Amino acid sequence: MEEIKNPLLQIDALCGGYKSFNLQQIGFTLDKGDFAGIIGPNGSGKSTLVKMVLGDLKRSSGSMLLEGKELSMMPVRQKAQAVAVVTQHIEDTSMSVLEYVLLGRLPYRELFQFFEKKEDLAKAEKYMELTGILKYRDQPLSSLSGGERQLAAMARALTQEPKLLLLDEPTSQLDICHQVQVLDLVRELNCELGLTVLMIIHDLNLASTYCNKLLLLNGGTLHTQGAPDEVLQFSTIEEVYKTVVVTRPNPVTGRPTVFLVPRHQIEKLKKERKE
Amino acid sequence: MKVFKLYRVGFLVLLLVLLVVASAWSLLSGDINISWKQLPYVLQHADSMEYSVLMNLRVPRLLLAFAVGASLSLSGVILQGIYRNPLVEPFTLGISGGASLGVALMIVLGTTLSLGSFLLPVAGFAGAFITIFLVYVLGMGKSAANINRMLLTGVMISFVCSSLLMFLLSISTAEDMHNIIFWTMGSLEQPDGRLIRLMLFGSIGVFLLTHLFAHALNALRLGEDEAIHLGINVKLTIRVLFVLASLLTGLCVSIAGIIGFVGLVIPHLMRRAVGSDYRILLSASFLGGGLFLIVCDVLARTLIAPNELPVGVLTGITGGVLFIILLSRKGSAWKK
Repeated sequence: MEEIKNPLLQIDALCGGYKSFNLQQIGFTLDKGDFAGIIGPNGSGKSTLVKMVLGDLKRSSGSMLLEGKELSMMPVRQKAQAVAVVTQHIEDTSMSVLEYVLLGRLPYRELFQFFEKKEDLAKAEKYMELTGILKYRDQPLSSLSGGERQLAAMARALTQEPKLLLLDEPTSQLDICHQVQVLDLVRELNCELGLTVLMIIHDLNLASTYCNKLLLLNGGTLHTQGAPDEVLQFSTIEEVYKTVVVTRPNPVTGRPTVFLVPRHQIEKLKKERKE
Repeated sequence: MKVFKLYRVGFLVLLLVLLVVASAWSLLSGDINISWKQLPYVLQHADSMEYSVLMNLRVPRLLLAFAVGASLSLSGVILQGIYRNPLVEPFTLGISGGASLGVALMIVLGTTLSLGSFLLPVAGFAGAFITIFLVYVLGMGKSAANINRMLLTGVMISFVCSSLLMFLLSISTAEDMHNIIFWTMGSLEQPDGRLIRLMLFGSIGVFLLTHLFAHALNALRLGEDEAIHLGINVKLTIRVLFVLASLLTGLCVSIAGIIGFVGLVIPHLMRRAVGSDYRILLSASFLGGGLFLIVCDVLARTLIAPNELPVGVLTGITGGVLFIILLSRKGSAWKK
């Protein structure tokens, strides 16, 4: 029996960007419950794509449908109820972690509602607990480390209770312990709450381990998309990243893992490949 | 609720108490001192001189001092919030420059329009309004609100206005010159009750309206993009708040002249005292600004009695000194 597909985000022939850099004809679909990773070299348009989905950047043509509704026509408030984002740069603010996380309830606030409701507070605390930052609730955000701030931003995004969560390199400032912690958390939310995730990630091996769908960007175009073992072929990566690599399955997960090959070993590798 | 700490509410109550004390001090001191004990007697005798001093001079002046101080401080805190810049104050945007130019033109041209006590305020407001309009149109451009461009436009307009003012001063008679300079120093002496009422209701109206945007200002603390991601209509928020704050400043300047530093120092003090949550900061700045100007006004009237200091001079000196002390202390970085 064929699996029933339930598209959440449909992007078709999306173009646009900056004066000097443009995305060209990007098209992909995220189904509900997908955990998708955007990969690609620096300057390939990963952030541009996310900014366009968020509406920070205007598209010049193409369509972006969220549950069949055009994203760029949606009022900001309605959009904020459906799409949340954790950006790479988190503002250095004196507000307490709790205040910060509570901002995630803003899209649900009524015009004359001045204080947060009990329900808002309960939700904020729930997601702070989930991300493990409840112990910092009354500390100023600026006193937290980079990684903890990323967790706080994650809690804030979850408090928005979105359908689609966008993550811009959520692991960039974390050690391996926190990398795994954050991505495990996202995976749990993805599996248990059915949250759809679209994540920019530099680390190909983390992308391979956690995502069920990868979008490989190169020079503003979508080079390859599909499951990790379809996208993470050594020939594809060598073509896009201009770097010699070897891929082997991860002994535990079976997902492809990418190994870098330094220049002085390339001759040896070429010989092996010939054989 | 724990989020809205009791301390913050307590601070507002403290400000209110101080406000009452300062008001009483302001009402009772001056050329004719009225003591506490005399007060019931004075209030019952409407024909006494003390009564008329109290009701016709001191009460209007007190109300004006409160309204102007509160408005300038409120405008300051709003502008700092939307520009996310600690150095913005109502006068940075050239509003005072425009108003001064309007007033100076009116004085020099010596028009005999029969507007009476409305003459200079109308001229001042017209000048302020034109400046606001220019800053808005030139600064906003076609794209989204471009904060830095608006700021720079304001500063430049300020320079142009002050040069033109110098020019006017250089060609005006000694008497006109005196009038212009006196107006520029700011004064809370306003004989027209209608203007005082306008100022009072204007300030309270804007104060209430800005509370609709308290959450938006809080979200803006994270930056414009993040505020949009949180569902805030940033463009609309910035535009409405800019117009409200600058019109209110224009009103202040046209009625009371240039009273500097209130809009810069009080919001800073309040940020340190209650934090940057705009739900409380707006009220704290409003009350704090009113309190500060009432106190400065009493000092201006009594320090060198029977003469009177221009209140703008006093706010400038006390405000500036306070500010330097604040900055030189540890952990004084601006809190977003």
